[in-house]
Amino acid sequence: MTVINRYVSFWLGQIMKPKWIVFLCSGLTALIANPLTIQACSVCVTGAGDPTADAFNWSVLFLMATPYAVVGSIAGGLFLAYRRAVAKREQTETPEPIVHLAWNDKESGR
Amino acid sequence: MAQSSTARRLDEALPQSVAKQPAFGGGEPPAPPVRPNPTIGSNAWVGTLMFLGAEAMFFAGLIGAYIVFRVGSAIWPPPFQPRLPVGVTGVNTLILIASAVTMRFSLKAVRVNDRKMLIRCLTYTAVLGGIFLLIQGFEWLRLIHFGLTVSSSVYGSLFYTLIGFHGLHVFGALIWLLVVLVRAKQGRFSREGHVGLQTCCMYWTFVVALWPVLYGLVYLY
Repeated sequence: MTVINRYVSFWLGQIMKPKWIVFLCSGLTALIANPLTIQACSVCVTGAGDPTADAFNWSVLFLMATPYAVVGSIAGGLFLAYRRAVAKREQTETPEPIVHLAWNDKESGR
Repeated sequence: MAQSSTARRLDEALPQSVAKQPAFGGGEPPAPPVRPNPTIGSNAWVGTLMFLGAEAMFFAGLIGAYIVFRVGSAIWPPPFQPRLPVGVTGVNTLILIASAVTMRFSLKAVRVNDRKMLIRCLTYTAVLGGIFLLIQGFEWLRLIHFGLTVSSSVYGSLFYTLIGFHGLHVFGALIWLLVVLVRAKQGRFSREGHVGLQTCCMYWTFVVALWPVLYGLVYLY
């Protein structure tokens, strides 16, 4: 058994004692029960259906969706412009460049 | 022979008879022709697109702040605050949308090298934009006279911030448009080169498309 294993097993043995389990459970209950601990969340203080909470929720949803809409619009615009440019090039250019005719793999023995 | 060739180690050199020579010439075959990607637009076009994205995010922040106060208030507008002129601003909205249409026509005109039509459409757009700003300014003066100021309430500060920034953008776009109009009169734009007009048209379309959203949110909701 290595030193680390001994260390871990020692502390696990200490924590798993009934008095420590009771202490940890009491501490967690006190943290949850104390309303001061949840004041870090700006919309958790108010209850469901509260206008302030609704306002924050709608604002957050809007601001969350906007970057996707903006970036999506730009990407869509670039994609459509690319498609248009490709179609325009296909109409104007000759399909096969002459340089291709200068080398034929089959006839050259390769 | 076939068996010995299959049993050959991979790192062995190929026998001379196996190595093929080209029937004519020598060296490597010519590289396939390079076919570059088609150009989708000028750098100014892409730059303007990015700029408009940033502008959209700026207005999204302002709209987000407005939503917080609007949805969070039980009574809106707050008591003892004047009501906004919905009808006149509705007509003003139509005027601004008409300016976007004439702006699109100017872009079509330059693509067929119709210089007269281009100048006429740009002039119409500038006039319609100017009328929009004048009506907005007149309505603002009335609202200030009725007691709605930036410091009167959250309602007033939100209204002047949101609508004011849009008005400022229209004013900036109008100055840009006047510069483009002068350049169009000088014959600087042609079918092949009209990037300045195209970017101005993009910006104008953006400020026009933004207005119905703000009108619906601030005046109607």
